[in-house]
Amino acid sequence: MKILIAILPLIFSAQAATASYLPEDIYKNIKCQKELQSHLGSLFSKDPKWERTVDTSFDTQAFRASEKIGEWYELRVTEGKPPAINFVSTKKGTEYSWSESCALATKTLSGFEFFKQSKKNLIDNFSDEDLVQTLQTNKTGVIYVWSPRMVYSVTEFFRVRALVQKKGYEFIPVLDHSATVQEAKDAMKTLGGELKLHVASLQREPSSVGPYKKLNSVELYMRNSSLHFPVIYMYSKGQLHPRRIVGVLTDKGLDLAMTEWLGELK
Amino acid sequence: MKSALCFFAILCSVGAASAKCIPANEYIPFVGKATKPNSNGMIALGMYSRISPDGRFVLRSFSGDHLSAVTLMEIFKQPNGQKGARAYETDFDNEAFPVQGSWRFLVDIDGSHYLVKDIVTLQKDARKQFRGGITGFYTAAAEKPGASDQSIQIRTLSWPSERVGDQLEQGVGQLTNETIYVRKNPDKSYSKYDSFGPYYMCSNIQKTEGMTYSLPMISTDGTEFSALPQNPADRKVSMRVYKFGADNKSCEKSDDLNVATSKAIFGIAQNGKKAPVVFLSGSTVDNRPAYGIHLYDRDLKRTFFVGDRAKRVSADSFPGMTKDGRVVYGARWRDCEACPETLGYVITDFYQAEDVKRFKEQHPDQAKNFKQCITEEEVAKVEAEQSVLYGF
Repeated sequence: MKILIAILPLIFSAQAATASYLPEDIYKNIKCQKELQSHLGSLFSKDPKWERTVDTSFDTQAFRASEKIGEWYELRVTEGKPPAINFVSTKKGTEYSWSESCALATKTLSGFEFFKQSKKNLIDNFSDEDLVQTLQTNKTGVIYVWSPRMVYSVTEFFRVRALVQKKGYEFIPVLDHSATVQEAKDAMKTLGGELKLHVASLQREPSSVGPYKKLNSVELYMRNSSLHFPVIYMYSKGQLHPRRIVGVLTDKGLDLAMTEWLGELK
Repeated sequence: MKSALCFFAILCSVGAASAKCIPANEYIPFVGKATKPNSNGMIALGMYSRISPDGRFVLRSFSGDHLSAVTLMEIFKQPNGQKGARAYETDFDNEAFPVQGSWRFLVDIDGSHYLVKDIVTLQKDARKQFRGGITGFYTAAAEKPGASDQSIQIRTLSWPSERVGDQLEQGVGQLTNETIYVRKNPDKSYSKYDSFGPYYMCSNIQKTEGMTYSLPMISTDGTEFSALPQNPADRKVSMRVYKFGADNKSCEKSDDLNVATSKAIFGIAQNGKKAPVVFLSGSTVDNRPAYGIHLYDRDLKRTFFVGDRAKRVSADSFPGMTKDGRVVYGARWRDCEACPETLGYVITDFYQAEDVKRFKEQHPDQAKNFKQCITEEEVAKVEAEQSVLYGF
């Protein structure tokens, strides 16, 4: 017992010492680094898995990390200046920034949505709420983000769906947020086929939802869902795989990727 | 004396004019048939827009209901003095591509090579010069430097493909490349006289990069390519640049942009510098999604934002660069939230981008080779050189 009591503080201090909370390739000359680390320590339960996103300027790096579906932190650091963190979610946003003397300031921002829903303007969309509900089923499936403006995401839609269904997985199509539903329907008709809503005599969309739900998910956006189409995400056992397939793979390639990723979602 | 004064005055005025900077951002609207809405009410911006080295032409697919699938867009000066972008129709299938670097040929997806001049003058009636190179799925091509009429080398790079039995199945597996040799005949037509490949590539870096890549794009001189490995050992989703090995099979990783991007498209390597890449990527600004065109300087290892935040611009994901360094891309733009949307091309002077100007102020040592701007004279020179190559 005495030994355990002696060891425990060592374990905790070792963990604290190893957790830097900072991205590996962050600029070395940022101001208020200690304050930043301390604040990140209060936002994250462990060292975040940062993914770098495009530099917003020649001297400003941006990194993203999340611990909960739909809740992301974007860290922006400028050489020689204090950093800033944006909390991004559908419902609310917060900006944390530090002054030159490293005093923390907090500012409330509006939530992040591609479409503001209102009674007058209801847009059928796929939100983080939908994503959470999907994950809570503990089923295995793929989310296929497509756009009528990227032709292969249309022409390969049915092939990918067939493969996914053949393996017994769910297939959830999500439409590029910037495309119109009419544009999507036209492209589908011209290039792919026609998506139909579920009725007894017709093939049912496994997502159980309208086939033209537009992307309105912070989670998918922050995972770069809109840089190219299609982008394919995989989920299983209540988790969304951190990686994604960008572009078109044929059956064999997609099958291999899905098998590998499923193995990683334990 | 009078004539001498006049002569000097002319020289002076020419000198002053030639030193004139091009606009920081120039917006060229579509004109003619390209402005007609499709049956769904939307005007087609087109896809896979590829920019010629002089910025005069853009080859695009999915050109809308009123035009052929692939059109060659020309940026020209209208009688009213304003620039516009007009369409020439082609008989090509979607995803036709140019031979980058020279734009000596435009290539249909079956490998048929056409002259730009023939498309402009004959449009759909243009006749192919020869057929060759890898065919199909997102192929990109580049002419290697140092060509002569007797020997023009063109390297094609394909999207991942796989051999299934005797067939090449497009869409999965390793990247492949093929080089064809072309010569100009006495009657000014062109013929293919040799080819090497296709070669399956990058097995030598399988351990670190995996075997499957997406978004491949060849450099304008055909010596490099950019691609996003799907299963790299480091599990990082990032666009990377690779060199073609001398054996046409091996690959050497030469750069990692460290971020996920749309296709990374090469500019031209000049003055001993590495070829920059331009790409569309997104971030968030004030908790709103913000996409824009960026340029990655591979010598400085820095990314510059070259979009125009003064306007509401929705940029296409296929930007390109001219020989003089202009960044050109398709876009939809509005002058204000309530203003009507215009479609066309944006021409940006990299050196006049706000981000670049700030960099020059803060890092004069690193920016010592940066110009103040691209001048009209530089553009005219590139246009004149390219006009000789087009033959009109």
